[in-house]
Amino acid sequence: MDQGVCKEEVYKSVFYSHSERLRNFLYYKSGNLVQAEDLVQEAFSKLWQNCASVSIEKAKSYLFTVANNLFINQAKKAQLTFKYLGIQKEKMDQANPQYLMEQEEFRIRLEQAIDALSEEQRTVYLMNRLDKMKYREIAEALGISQKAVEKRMHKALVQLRKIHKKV
Amino acid sequence: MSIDTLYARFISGELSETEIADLKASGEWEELEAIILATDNMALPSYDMDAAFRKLKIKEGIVESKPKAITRRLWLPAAAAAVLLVAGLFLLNPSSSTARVYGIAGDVVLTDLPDGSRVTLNSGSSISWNKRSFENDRRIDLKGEAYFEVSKGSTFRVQLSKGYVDVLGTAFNVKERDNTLQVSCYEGKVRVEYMDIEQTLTKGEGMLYDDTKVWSNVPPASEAPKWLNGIAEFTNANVNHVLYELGRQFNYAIIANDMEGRFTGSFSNDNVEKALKEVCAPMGLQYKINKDKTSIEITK
Repeated sequence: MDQGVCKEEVYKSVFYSHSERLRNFLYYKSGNLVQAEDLVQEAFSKLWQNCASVSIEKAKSYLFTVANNLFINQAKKAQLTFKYLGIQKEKMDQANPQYLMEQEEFRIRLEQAIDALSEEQRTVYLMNRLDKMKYREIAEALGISQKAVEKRMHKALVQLRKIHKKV
Repeated sequence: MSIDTLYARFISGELSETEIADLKASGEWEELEAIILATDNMALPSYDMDAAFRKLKIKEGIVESKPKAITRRLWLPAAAAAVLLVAGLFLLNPSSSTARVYGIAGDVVLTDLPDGSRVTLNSGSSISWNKRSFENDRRIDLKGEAYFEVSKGSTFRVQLSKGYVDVLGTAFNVKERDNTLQVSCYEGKVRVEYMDIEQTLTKGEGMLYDDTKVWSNVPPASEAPKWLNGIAEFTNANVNHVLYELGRQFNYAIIANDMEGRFTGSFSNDNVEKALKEVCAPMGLQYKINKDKTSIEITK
């Protein structure tokens, strides 16, 4: 019989496979990094407490579900509002200053547009783009259908395209 | 193919040839590519996985490496101690000079301070201290309730919202809520300065300030506070306060009209139904846990 994730090596491998994506997922929701990292720790501590009843295969959706619930509870209590994501450009190719400035402007507008997306759209979009998660993986983590993920993705891009038109 | 997932399929490269041709003709292809490229070039805040894992490990480390220290004083059977290990989490932000420890609802957290003092946090409480100055100036900010065993040394101060408690090597419990403060001294001596009073307590002494707005002497009933053993204990306490504590303990919102009556007794912190029975039965109250498991309704 499956022993769940009570073995330390197993638990550790689960942590190393999922904790960063979980952190990012929570960060996309709230824009609050401290809270996101706090909730990752809480979710993993819950996983540890319930390690016997959670199999390795179920660990991922368990973690996302628990973290999501914790987030909702905190948000309800503290009436948290979304803060701006602090995603920054890091990798910039060499180019002429004029082009760089336009790029920079575009990036800022894009970041604002991402902030303005609904929580659902932003989360799915960034999980796909920044965490490189496939639609199937996102669906699994969030406990929704792949079709629903694709719809959110599409809607996110419809919104983001609007900024392009304003250029 | 359906239109409401068109862009999603653009990203995953699943478009048909006609769809590709259409997107290119309309100029959408180029726009989407620019958006995707710019997004992909964004970078997230860094994540130190090892450090994050170590935070979880800290609690296990305490339990594993010093089991004696815990059982000697700690009033906790080994099994309970094992549950505690990951229950509380250390939030040490490396970039800040403030260290902070939270007690998560429903659990008790034990933590060691840099000077060897030891703090046990009740659920929903937190402490923080300045990592840089703590060695020279032992000062802890407390929100909620904690039990302290302080190593000998310079004055150790617990800063509260409306005052503080100073200590010289001792064991004591401080519980501060919106309108109540209770300090119990189990060993040594503490000095309390809070709102309008100053008071020194020695072993076996305690004081309570509550909704009656009068300070009263409430000596500790046992050798260490019962919540350390997972039991919340009350003496002649306002029943609203008891219900509030229960909700706080298990992380539920309590929905109740202002109740009358005083409660003397205890509830255990491991099972919400059991705790509700322990409080509601003697008070003649009815309870109902709502389906979403976030709130409890209390009626007469």
